[in-house]
Amino acid sequence: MNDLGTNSKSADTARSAEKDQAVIDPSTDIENDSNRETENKSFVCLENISRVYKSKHLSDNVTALDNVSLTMEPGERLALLGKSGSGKSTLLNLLGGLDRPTSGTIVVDDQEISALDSSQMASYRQRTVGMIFQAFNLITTKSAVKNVEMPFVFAGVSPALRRKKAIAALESVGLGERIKHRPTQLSGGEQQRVAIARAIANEPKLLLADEPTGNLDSATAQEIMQQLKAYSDEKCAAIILVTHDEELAHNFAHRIVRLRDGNIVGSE
Amino acid sequence: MNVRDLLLSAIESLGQHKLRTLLTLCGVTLGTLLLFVSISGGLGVIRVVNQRLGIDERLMEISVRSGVLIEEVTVEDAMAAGITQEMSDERRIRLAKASGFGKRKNVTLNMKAVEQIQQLDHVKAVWPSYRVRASALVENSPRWIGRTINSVAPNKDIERFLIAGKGFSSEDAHEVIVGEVMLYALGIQNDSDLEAAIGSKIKLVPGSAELWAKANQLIALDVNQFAIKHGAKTELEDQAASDDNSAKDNSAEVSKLENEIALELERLEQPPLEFSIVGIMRTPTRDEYRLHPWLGRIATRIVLPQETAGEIWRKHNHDHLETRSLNAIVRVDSAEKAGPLERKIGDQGFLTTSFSKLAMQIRTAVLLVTLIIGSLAIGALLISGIGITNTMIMNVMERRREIAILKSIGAQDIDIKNMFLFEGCLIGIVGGLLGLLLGLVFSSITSHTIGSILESQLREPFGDNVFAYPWWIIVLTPIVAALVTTIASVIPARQAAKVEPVAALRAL
Repeated sequence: MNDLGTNSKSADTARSAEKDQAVIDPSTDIENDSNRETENKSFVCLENISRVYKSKHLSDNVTALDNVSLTMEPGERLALLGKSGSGKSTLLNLLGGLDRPTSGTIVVDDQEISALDSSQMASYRQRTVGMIFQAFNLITTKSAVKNVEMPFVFAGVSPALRRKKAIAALESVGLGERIKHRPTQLSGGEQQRVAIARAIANEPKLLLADEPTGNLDSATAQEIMQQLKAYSDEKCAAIILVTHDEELAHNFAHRIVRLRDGNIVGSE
Repeated sequence: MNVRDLLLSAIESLGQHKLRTLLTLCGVTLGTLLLFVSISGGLGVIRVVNQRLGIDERLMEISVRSGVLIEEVTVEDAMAAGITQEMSDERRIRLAKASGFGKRKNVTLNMKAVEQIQQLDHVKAVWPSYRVRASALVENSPRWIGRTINSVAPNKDIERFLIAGKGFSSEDAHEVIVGEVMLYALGIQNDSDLEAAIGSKIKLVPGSAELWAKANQLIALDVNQFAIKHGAKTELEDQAASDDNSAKDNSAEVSKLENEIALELERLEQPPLEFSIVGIMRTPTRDEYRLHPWLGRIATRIVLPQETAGEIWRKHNHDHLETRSLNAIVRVDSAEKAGPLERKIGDQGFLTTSFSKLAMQIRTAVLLVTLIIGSLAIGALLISGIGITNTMIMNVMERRREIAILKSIGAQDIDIKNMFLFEGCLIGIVGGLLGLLLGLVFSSITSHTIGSILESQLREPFGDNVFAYPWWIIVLTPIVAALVTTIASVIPARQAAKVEPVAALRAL
């Protein structure tokens, strides 16, 4: 039986020990710097990533990301800011293993994910990364607990264990009482918390949140962000937050990276 | 994903669109029902036809009797016959043959010919029909009776016509089966007398035309007396009435005949042969005669085992074995060889008849109808398969978002593919089982109705089920249904596996 929650624990523990009270240095490695010595040791490393959406005519090709390089350390919280079409979501999808770069390499937790085949990529999505979407992306026909159980189903975890883990994840986001409810019976905030529970249930080391508070009121948004922060601190997980909201980004992230037209234009 | 999760996922998914699932299920169920009923019915009809015509056994039998062989006519023979006009040799020979100039040679089916036929390939056995006139005296009966003794081929089920006793213990046993009519004429008339007659001895004197004639005259007088006693208007009574001797004063003639018979017996060189009566045969019905031509007139004769009758026949015809003609049944080792073997025997000049051709034609016709109905049923199943493909493709289109979400949380392409294949398979299994169940119910009801109709049409009991249920049809029906629906789900399943999560999620 494969226990996702304890997956790669030894590597994780080693890294945690190495970092010991990991200090996120906001000044570390930013855009387009390919000669850094620390690069190989980074938890996330994007090197000269481009993503071009091809069209029938060459002139109609859309370059969503253009030669972007970026690194992150374990436990680092990074906010991606930029207008619509700046390439934020594309970057997130590439890191989430939902899409592949046209060129460049992506290394996460020592795995070059741009070189993985579809089966390995699915495994990467199961074990290493968790994704949270603005639209929650819950399966409306399934209850909260079954939604959270789904990643474990594909990992072949036993029904009893996955139920236990799913309930624990829901309880950690304050939804222990509503596990049997379907998404349509939950508020927007609750739905997003179910989505967070699903994303963190297998304790991924990288969490990708694509405007997770975009559909929520500010009070609920604050709660959601607090939960993500708590998870990051507790598990030493790296989080990338895509948002339009400057204030939210400043409150949440150790580092803010700005994107414009597929290029990183600033980091602070 | 393991099988349990796939099953739960399929049930959940099918349950979300209840009406759609129900309609799809109806299609599969009806297709399966048709397939089951057509195959089961086809097999059943073939079995009934075989049983009722006794084709299984008769297909492998050829009746052979003596015939005529017209020898080849040469050109010279034809010229000598006067066909000298200008024409091709082929036509000359044909005309000569047709005009009867070919030498005709009688081909007798004698013991030697029987032995030769026995040696041919694919001949399992040859059973000549041995018939010898004989006089008989049943134990405890004062009257001799003239009867023909008759062999019965070992593959004939004479036991079904017995009202007392059993069949022969072996083919060379000294046992006989006699008809109820003969015993009645001899005064063995009560039902209890029949059982008592089993095991009693019967003396047989083959040949001896004199004895045979006198014994028959004597029994005719007895029958005459019996008929008058009961006031029945029979032919014999009419004859007796027209005679100078009235029925009442024939006792003198009876005594005279009895004396003559006693003298005749004394003159015999060989003592009478002694046999045991092992069975009493009833008179078959008209339909039984029609269905079992081998019965012939044996119900009125004394029936002996094949070898025993053969021995008597050979002894009786010792001096005429070359010329004495027989009828024989040639048993072939397989039905397929009956046709070629019949031609081979026929080419030697013997007259042959067999049911192989007729039976094959009937079987072919039934098989053809079964195949046509079966094809229609497979067509119906395929159409429901196409319906499933269509429905599943719609399902995939509707569930693109769900598929993308599942992929984003770790589902592999194979997981998604298996989910859809399993849904198709589940519909097939459920539809197949329902179709099978309905098929069994439908066929049992229909069989009863068909049986009633046939009984009224044939005016005889029709106990056969017109549907057959071999084990493989029960097992294969749901498997075929599941296979068709699973195959129908392959294209939708591939489409589902190919859904790009980014594109599908972006389209929300």
